[in-house]
Amino acid sequence: MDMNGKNVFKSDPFPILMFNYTKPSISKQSQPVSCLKCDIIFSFPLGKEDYLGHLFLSHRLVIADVEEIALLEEYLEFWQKEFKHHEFEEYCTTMLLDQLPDGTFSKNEKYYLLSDILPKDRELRDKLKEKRLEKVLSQHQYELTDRNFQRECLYCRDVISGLRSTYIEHLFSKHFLQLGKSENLVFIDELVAKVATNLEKLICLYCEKKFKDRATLKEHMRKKGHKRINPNNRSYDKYFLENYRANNQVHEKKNLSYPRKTRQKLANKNQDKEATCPSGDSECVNFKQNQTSEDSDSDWSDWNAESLQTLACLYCIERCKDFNTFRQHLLAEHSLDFDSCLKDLNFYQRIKIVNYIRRQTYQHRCVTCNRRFENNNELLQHLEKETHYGVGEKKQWDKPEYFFPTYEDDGLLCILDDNPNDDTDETVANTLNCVPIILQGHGVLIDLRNECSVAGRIDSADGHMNINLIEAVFIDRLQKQHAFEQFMVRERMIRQIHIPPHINITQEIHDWCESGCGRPKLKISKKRTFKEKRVQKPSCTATWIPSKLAGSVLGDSLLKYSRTPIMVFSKYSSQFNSAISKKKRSWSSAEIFLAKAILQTTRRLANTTKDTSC
Amino acid sequence: MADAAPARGGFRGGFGSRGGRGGRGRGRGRGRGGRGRGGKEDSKDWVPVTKLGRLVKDGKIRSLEEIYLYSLPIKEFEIIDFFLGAALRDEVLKIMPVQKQTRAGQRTRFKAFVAIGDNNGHIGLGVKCSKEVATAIRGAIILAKLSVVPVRRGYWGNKIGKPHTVPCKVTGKCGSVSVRLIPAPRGTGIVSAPVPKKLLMMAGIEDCYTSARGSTGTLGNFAKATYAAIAKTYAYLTPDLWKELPLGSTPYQQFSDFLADKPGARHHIDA
Repeated sequence: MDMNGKNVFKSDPFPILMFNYTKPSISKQSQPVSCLKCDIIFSFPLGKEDYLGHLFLSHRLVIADVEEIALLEEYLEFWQKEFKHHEFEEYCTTMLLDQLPDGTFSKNEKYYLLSDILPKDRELRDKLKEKRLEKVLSQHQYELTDRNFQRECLYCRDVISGLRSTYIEHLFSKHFLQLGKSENLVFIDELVAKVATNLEKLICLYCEKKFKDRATLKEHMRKKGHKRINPNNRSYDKYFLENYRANNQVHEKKNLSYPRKTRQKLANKNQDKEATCPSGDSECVNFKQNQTSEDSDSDWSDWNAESLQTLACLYCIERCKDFNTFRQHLLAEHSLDFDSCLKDLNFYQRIKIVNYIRRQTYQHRCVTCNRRFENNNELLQHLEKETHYGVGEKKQWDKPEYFFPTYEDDGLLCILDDNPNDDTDETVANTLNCVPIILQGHGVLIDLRNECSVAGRIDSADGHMNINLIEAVFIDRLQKQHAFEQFMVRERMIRQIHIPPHINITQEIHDWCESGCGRPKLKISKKRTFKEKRVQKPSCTATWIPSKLAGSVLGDSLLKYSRTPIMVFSKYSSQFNSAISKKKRSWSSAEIFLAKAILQTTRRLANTTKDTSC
Repeated sequence: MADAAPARGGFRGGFGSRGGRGGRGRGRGRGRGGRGRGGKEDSKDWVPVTKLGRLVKDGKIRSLEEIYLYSLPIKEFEIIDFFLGAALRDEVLKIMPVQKQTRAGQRTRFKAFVAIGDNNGHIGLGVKCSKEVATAIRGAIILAKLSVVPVRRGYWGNKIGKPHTVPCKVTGKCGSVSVRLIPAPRGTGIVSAPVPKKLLMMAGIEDCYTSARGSTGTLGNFAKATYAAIAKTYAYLTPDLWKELPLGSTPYQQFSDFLADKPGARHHIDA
C-alpha cells in the first residue's frame, strides 16, 4: 500500500511513469569535437577558441556569426560530416585577401567563409535554435515546478525552501534586489551562485567596481540603484528566456551605441512592421493579422505530445504504441482475441479482468490454472504449451480488489472502451419518446407525478414527449373529474402512460424505427447549373423601341414596366441606353436623357430611325 | 527613519527599507532582456467595473455558488480571487514557443497553458500567447480564473463519508478527442493519462476511471475535453435533483437599490 492507501505494485519489468518532471540533463561536461577537415580533437567548451583559431590558421575557414550559433557542437558535427565528402568551395563563399593567416603579405590568398547565406546553413542554424529553445524551456518548466529547492538568502539568514520563485520573490520584496521575474529566468541556481560570488568578492553587481568592504558595497549599491543586473552585460544573457527567442534584432551589435529605450523602440517598430506588411495592403492585412494572432492565442490544438504513452502487453514485456498494435500483438504472439474476450462485459468487469491478469503475470501465475512458476519465461512457455492464454474464469477475476489498478499509470485501463454511445446524443432511436407520436389519435390514460391523471385523445406529441390532448378529462387527487377541450402535459410530469390494449405497441415501435423514426426526409437540394438557368432565361434580353416612341406615353409605360432594359434606336442611343439599363426604375435621369434625345432626333434625324420594335 | 541595524556582521545585515525604495524606483521598467522588474502590483486595490463585481466587493454575495446558481457571466477575475483566493493553486501545464514567419526571420512568442483549481470543487483552464514568458503566464492565469466552473462529486456505491468520485458517467469532447469519466470506488485513485490526471486532481476528484478516444496526442484538446467532461457533472440531471425549488430573484434584482445608489458610477457593463 502506498501513501494514498491504494494497492500498488511497484514493478520491475515495467517501468513506472513518474508523475513529476524529471530533471533534464544539460551537460556541462567537456565534449570532444574533432576538426572539420583534419582529425585533431578539441574538447569543448574550453577548447572553443583554439578550435576556431585552428580552423582559421590551418584551413583558412571562418564561420560567420559564431557567437550566435546555438549548440555549436552539433553544428560542427553536421558540417564535419558534410566536408568529409565535399570541398570547402561547394558550401563556403571564397574571399581573396592579400595576406597569409599569420599576417605576412601575400597576394590573393583564398579564405573561406561559412555563413547562413547558404540556405542549408540557415536551416541548420534555425533548427538548432529551436532545439536549444526546447531544451531551455524544459529546464525552465522543471525549475518552475520543482519544490525541492533550498538555499540561504544572500542578505539575511533565512533559509528559503520550496519553489525558486519564492526565493527570487524574497530577494525582491525583502532586500530589493532585482534579478528579474522568476518566470522569465532560467538556470536560476547558476544565476544566484554567480550573484553570490560577486557579492562575496565585493564587486558591485551592476557596474562591476571593487570595494573595500561589505558596508561600502551595500551603501554603493543602495545609493546608485545598482541592486539589479546590468542589461548591457552580455554574460547574464543566458539566464533570461527572452534571449533564446530566434529573433535577430535583439542582438544587433551596432545598435548597442543607442540607449536602451531607443533600441527597444527600434526592435518593436521592426517587429510591428513585419507583422503588418507582408503584403502591400497594410490596412486590410492588419485586421486579418489581429484576428489570426488572436485565434492562435487561444488555440489549444497546437500543443502536441512529445512522446506517447506506450501500452504494456498483458503477458510479456513487449510495449505497444497504440491499441491496434496491442491487439495485433496479442493475436499474433499469444493467440488471444482481446475483443471477443471482453465482448459482453461492462466497463467495470473489463477493468477487473485487466487488473487480474496483470496481477497474475506479476506473480508468475498462470491465468487459467493458477500454477506458480519461477520466472516470466517459464510462465510464457507454460501458457504456450497448454494454451492457457485467456482471461480466466469469472469467479477468479470478479473480486472487488481488482477495482484498484495493479500498476500505476497503466495506459491500458484508459482505453477500455465501454459503449460510448449510451450517453451521447448520436442515437435517437434508443428512446421511447416515439410512443406518444405513434399513439396519435388514440385515447389514452396518463398518470401524472402529482398523483393525478388525465384521460384523453392524443392530438400531437413532440420528440420530448410533451403531449397535447383533446377531449380530455382531468382526474385530480380527490378523484374529482374536470373536462377540458385541450390539455397539454409536459414530459416531466408524466409518470405512466396506459396504452390501449388493442394496440400492439412493440410491433408499432419496430415499424416506426424501420421507417426512419418519423424524421423528415432530407431534401436533396437540386442546385440548378448555370446552363439550366440560361436555358430557361427569356431569350430576349433587351427591348428596343424607336426613339420616336421614347417620349410618348407608350414609351414611358414600357420603360416603367418592362423587366428587360429598354434600348432606344437613335444616333445618340448609347448615351441614355446605359442610363436606362442601369436605372430601370428610376425616372429622373432617364427622363432627362429621353427628353434630350427626343429633341435632337426630332430636330435632325427624323428620317433615319429604324422602325423596328421587339 | 533608520532601522536598527541588526547586530549580525558581514553581508547578512538587513537593509533599511527606505534605501530599497529608491533602488526600486530606478529599477523600474524593462531592461533589454526583460530584466527590470516592474513595481509591486497593487493587488489589494480592486475597483470593480461590472455590477457583479460591485456586489461581490461589498460582500452582498456570499459565495461563488450563488453566482453559478443564476449562471451570471463572470467578467472580472478578482471575483474568483475574492471567493477562492488562498485555496486556488495554478499550474503551468506547458510553455511552448510559437513561431511566425516574417520578412526578417521568425518571430517567436511564448504560449502558456495554465490550469487552476482549488482541489475542492473548482477548476479552470486558460491559454495565452505573449512575447515574454511572465506575461503569458500571468495572462493565462487570468483567463483560467475567468473560466472556473464548479465540479460535482458523488459516490460510487455506499453514500458514506464525503463524495469522492464523479456522480455519473460524463463525456467531454474537444476536437477529435473525447474523454469519458466513469465513477470509481473509493481508493482507486485517478486512472488516466498524466494531463487529465492533473486536472482531475485539481478539481478535487479523488477516484475516477477515464476512457479516451481520438488523437490523444494533441494534449491541448485532451485537456480541454477533460475540462468539458468535468464541467458537465453539474449539467447532468440526476433523480436527486428532481425536486422543484422555488424561483429566487437574481442578485441584480435583489440588490437593485444598492446598485442604483452608488455614486460616481460611470461605466457599468451589463454583465
